Amino acid sequence: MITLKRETSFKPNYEIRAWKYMRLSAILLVPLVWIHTIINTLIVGAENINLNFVATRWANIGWQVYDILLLTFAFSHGVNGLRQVLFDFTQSHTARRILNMLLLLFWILLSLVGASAILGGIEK
Amino acid sequence: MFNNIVHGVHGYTHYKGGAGHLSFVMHRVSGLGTLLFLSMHILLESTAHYAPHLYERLNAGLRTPIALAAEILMAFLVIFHGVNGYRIAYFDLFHIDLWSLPAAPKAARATWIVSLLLWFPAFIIMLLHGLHVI
Ligand code: HEM
Repeated sequence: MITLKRETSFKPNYEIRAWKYMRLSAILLVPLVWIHTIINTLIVGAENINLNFVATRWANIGWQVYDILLLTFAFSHGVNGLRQVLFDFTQSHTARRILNMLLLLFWILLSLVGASAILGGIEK
Repeated sequence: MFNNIVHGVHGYTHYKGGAGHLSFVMHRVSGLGTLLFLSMHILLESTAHYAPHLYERLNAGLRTPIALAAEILMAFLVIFHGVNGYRIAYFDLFHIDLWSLPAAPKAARATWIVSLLLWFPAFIIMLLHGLHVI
């Protein structure tokens, strides 16, 4: 039997915070992602999803908030996860800096595209 | 970097870590697969706002047996990643003291069973919905 005991008395750096964030966002993501999928794929079903359905959704402030939360937490968790995987294959400081910049850009870009669509809704 | 990738992937397939190692590889694969899906999903749904006609076309064009099979596989990935993620988060955040060499692979195996049990009904329901559109 192995027991682990941690005594931490240092200031958490970025990597420690990211490690924590992956786990804390995980707690939120199961309800956020699964409820989204259960409603759209299992209850409503692909045959009923069309422009009209999306328009009704994004005309409702509650669903807009829900979709923004989902986008924020799922996508930041996913991109940071990709960063973790890529860092496992890169040791050089420069390569990691470049990866960080590219991932940050990718994250901001898609977040803006998605959030503006959710908030903009569909004109009828 | 290229050498790192070759070595790393060799490690993924050859390391003899049993159930825990399989979970690690599957968590990576399912996380990356979900991120790929999510990135395409964000772009596709955004066309509903930016180019509604394109949205209608793409949406209708994705009603194929291959897309349905991909969605059903995707459901397994996101279920496994969620269940296994809860296992990781639970032990890491709340019960690091419960982690032990005999207990860890048992928890890893339980993750597979729970994921498959959750996936099975989802599989059937998705198939039934899919039959309407393909
Ligand atoms: C459904 C709820 C989810 C839970 C409970 C969850 C849980 C976790 C946890 C705890 C980790 C950290 C693993 C580690 O550091 O060893 C992780 C990693 C990761 N997650 Fe998630 N996650 C969820 C959803 C998602 C989604 C929606 C995506 C994609 C957009 C995603 C992509 C990733 C990626 C790419 C990693 C990195 C994998 C690695 O480092 O091996 N996850 N997840």
